[in-house]
Amino acid sequence: MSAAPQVTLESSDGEKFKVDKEVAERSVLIKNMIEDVGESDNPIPLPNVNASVLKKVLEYCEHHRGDPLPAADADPSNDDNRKRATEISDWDQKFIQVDQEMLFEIILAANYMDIKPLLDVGCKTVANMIKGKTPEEIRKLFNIVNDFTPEEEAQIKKENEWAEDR
Amino acid sequence: MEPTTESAVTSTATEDERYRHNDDLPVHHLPPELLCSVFKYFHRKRAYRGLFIIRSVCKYWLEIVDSSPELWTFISLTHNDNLLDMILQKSKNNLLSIEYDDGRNSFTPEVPREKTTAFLERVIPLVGRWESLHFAGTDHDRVLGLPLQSLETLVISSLLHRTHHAEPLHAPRLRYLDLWGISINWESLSDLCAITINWPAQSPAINQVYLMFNACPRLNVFAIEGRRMSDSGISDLPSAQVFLPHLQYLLLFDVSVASYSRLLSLIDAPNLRRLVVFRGFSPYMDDPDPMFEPAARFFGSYTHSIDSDRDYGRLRISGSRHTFAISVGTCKVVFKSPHIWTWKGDRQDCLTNLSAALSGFDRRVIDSVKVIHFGGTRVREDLITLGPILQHHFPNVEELVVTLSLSERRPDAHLVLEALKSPSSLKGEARWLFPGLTTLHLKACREPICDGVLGVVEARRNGAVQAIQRVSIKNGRIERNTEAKLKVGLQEFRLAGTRYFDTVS
Repeated sequence: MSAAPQVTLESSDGEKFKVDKEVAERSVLIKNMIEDVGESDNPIPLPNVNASVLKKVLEYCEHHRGDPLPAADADPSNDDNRKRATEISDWDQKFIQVDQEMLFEIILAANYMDIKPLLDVGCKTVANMIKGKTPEEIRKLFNIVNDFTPEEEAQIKKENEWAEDR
Repeated sequence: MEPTTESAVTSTATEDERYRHNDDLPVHHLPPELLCSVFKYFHRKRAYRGLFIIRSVCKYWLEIVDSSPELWTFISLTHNDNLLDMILQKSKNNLLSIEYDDGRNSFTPEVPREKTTAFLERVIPLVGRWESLHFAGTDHDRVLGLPLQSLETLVISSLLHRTHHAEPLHAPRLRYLDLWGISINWESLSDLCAITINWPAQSPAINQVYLMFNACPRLNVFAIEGRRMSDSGISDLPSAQVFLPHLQYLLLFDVSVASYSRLLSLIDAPNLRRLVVFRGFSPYMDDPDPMFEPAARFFGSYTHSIDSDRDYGRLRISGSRHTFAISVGTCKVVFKSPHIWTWKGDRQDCLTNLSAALSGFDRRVIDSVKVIHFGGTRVREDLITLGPILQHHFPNVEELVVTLSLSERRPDAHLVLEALKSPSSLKGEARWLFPGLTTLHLKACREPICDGVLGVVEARRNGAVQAIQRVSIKNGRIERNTEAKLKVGLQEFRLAGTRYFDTVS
């Protein structure tokens, strides 16, 4: 039996990762690059992703290598898709238990590398962090400072009442 | 720059400094479109409260929320004028989801006429942007006659005042239709993915349903709950098959059996996963028996998924007093009927029907069935009554899974297994049930004594059949000595949650 074809990916800080082509092609960006350029021994540069983040992204791709690819037209705003989307598998939950900085880096990398399921996991995780919190608690969570002027705050408060008053 | 703490910033910082501090935060490394994606998951369409919390966090988040029309797409009659203005302004040209329930046709509080009129006057001019409409009210004629150019989902309810809307529907992009108490011009429907029709004022004639199926090749779900359905249109049914490769759920409640039996025999739906036939208490219902054979064809005829579906090869039978369900692999056919499917009065009819249905099974399906599950509240009757029929049709069965439900009244599971313990007379010949059986799983509730398994194992070991090699018992009770004896003679014996008891000599 012949070995699975492999490709080499190069992170922004110059580290090289040799992975199975099937794993790398979970990224639509890489899949398109391979299709455009053809198979080559040259490493595929990923200038927007550093080694520590790329390692994490590849861990995800390796785990999900056999999964069916998501439909291109799946709309997260659709109620059914959203319901399905709120569920995060146990493995994904553990995988995404990282510090905030890494979490946002993974989301950015998933967006850049076009790995929709990973992007969804990241966005859902942030949404779940926000869920049930007051504005003040959300600020505290992300270290955000309230930068509204008193006038702006009064206006927002008034508008918030519109959402309550049915 | 290391982020400073909020208190350090807020105590002395100017507005600009606070804005700059927020700009440098890790969360704001995400570009606006990604933050908007996060907010989409957080924000539930019906309640804007979540979105208002988000836009109260900081200026940046407020800017993102207010400049993302896709977050402002849901409009409800319950929204006040200020919120409605805000949504309409911020949604820009995005498609809209409209919810309208004036309380006149449902059990919700009635909304004053002036409010409903004002609401419709605001949203009807935007009809070209309606993507979904949930409408419960008495004014459906005002919306159903509109050119619904972008509409994909239509849920319309007129339960208290059943009506028929005869004019054709102008909704070329409609994919999901859910009707409650209302009937529409059935001929004007095409390209739908899901159709649900509940208690329509005028049920579609069966030839209209046939035409609907033909016009909707991507149909995934069809559910109809009938109301004194007649057999009209049956003589106009064409004989050509309708190919519905996407159909997965077919739910028929209180429909005309003659009509739908005929229709079922014309449907080619290789990916059907659930067919539910429900017969209610209605005195207008006729005998659903004719439904059985065309229904059973669905799980018995299709072989395409045998190789890919790991659950293929498992036949599951479960029944209660009113329900009888059979599944092969992922395809399940459920019959619900308070009268017909009880075994008492109509047992012979049922057996004849089952036998006839199984005869239509594809050879590959028959060969693939190695495991039979018996579950529900009629295990004993099913196993004993259906066993010989199933054995005849599925000669390759190696494994039985018997679930004893709580309503199994007799305390000893041995009774359930009686049929396996000795050969019975079939057509004047002594035959063992499932002669190739090597594995037996018994799933009991708390009480049943499962010692009878030993008798089955020993009897079959000494009989002219395959010996049972693997046994598992979940729950129930067992004597310690029995356990020891079973362990000796079996390749594998497992207990889970089973309680021991000792016989008093």
